[in-house]
Amino acid sequence: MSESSVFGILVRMPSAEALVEATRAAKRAGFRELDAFAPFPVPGLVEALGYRERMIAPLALVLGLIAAAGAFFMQWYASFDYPYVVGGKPLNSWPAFLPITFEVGVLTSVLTAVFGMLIRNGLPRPYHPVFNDRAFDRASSDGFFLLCPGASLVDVETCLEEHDVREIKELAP
Amino acid sequence: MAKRSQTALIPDMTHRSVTERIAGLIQDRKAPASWWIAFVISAALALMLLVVLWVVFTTGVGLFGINIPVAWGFPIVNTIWWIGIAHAGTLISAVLLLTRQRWRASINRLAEGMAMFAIACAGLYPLIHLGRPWFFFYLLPYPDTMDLWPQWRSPLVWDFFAISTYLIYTSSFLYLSLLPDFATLRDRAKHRFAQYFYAMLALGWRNSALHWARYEKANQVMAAVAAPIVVSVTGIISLDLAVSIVPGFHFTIFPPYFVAGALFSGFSTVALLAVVMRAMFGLKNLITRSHLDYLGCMMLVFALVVDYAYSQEIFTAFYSGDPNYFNVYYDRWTGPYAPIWWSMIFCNVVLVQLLWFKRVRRSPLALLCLAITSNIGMWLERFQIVFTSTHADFMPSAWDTAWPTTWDWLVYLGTLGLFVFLLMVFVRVAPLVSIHDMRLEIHGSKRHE
Repeated sequence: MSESSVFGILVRMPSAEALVEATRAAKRAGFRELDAFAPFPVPGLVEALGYRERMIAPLALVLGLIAAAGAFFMQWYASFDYPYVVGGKPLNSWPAFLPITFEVGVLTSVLTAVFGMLIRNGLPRPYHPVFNDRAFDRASSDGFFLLCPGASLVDVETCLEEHDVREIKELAP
Repeated sequence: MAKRSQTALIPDMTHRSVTERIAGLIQDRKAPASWWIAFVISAALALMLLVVLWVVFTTGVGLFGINIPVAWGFPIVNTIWWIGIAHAGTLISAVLLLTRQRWRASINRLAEGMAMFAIACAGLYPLIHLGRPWFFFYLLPYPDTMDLWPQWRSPLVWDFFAISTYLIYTSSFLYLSLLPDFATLRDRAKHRFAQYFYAMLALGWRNSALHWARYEKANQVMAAVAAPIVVSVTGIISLDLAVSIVPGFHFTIFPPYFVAGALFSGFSTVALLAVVMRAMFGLKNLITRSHLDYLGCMMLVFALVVDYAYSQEIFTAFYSGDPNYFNVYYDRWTGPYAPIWWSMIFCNVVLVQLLWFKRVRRSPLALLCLAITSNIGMWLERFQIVFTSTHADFMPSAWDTAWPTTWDWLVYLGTLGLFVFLLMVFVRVAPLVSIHDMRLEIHGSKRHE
């Protein structure tokens, strides 16, 4: 069934707690590439999906430190490349280099965090199959959705039999 | 439960009602008459700023009241003032996020927007003060044909890096906070144009749990560096003064003193905007009297730190045993700028003590008045630091008094107009209160019940 006309199954749940429960059940049932949608970061939801963000914070720290080292090196190099003695101070007057070292490091961390978030989220992305469903607009207000890409309607229905499902439908690709 | 009392929300709010309420302010309701009045006046002032700047750049900065010995004058006073206002915006948002203060949700957007536009006004002044702003890139280490480098030991070069970093930081933080709300507006928009407009701004945000996880991580990183950025930016600006040997500038207390002063004026401005906006858009349920109370407390805390800094500055001046330092203080108390010093003391030391009373903090009108006097007081403080210290330094033959000219006042008025103009446009395009933070807060308060 390679030429499928269905992207996946979209399930709407009544509340954040119900969505976390349903996500756990679907995960246990072995559905792949699950995704859950909620209008705010629901505590425990991303853990239910079996995901933990490990990239952004360490990367921001490491790139920030590298950039800070680079900024310090630039200033150190510049004071020997164009020696200019002020008030008899040594050319490598490192305390005076610290403000810029710090600012450049922090700026790099900030940009890493912002662009890291966008790149890891695959944004900007103008099109996604979930946008086909008008009801999905509620994901940014009070809708709680579970998406099972590539699954069949029957399988998802069986899996969530015991759950308080509000709506379940197939999504066009 | 301690956390419960912090939410300061009315109990029957739901995710849907709060979304409808805040997004509806922009999408379903016409702007109130007071908005139009503020918009038209501020737009006229912002246009005036363009004309004034054109005159200043074509004629030269000689139009300003700056000369030797007072070479820094108004532009620097106003830069420090605006930067200070910006700082509390960042700090409210970021530090309250890190410490999980839940009352933050109602006012963080206002604070971030305020920070963004205040930093834009602040950044304008050094450029104006350059006189030839098109040469600003001399401060950057660019590969020039003369093989020159910027002077890395100069506080003015540090300033350039600090303010640019802060500008980029503030705009990223604001945009990050707006991103999920733009998605909400996109999903609610009825007009084709509005749908495209917000879809562009939302970048295809889908409210996925994975999105949120990375979003929260990025926000945590941003919040974690916020406090160091705030401290470093105002600290570096204070070093412009403190690194020199001018009596009245050369105090080791300056960096923490400036940071406290910045936060004092910034919290005052947030309080001012909160009172004005809740009246203008009828947001009394979202920005409650408890929020005003918290803001009043923050104002009082930082005012007391500032007052302590005043006392230590005076103590240091007299303890130094340096007659030049004595002179700076005698001159501040009795010299040509004495009215400025005493007005500052009245605003920042005497009047703020009213904030000890809960009734004052919870009264919108009283808080508005105190916010205005505090901002005036902080402006006077920067004025007396910059003017009194340089107008009479080591050599009596060089003493002179400088006063701002009409052009100084026009530029200042123009940036005030620009700030209000940008803010007014902002509140019609973006939600005035962070919708996704409010939804999370509602979710949290339900769980505590």
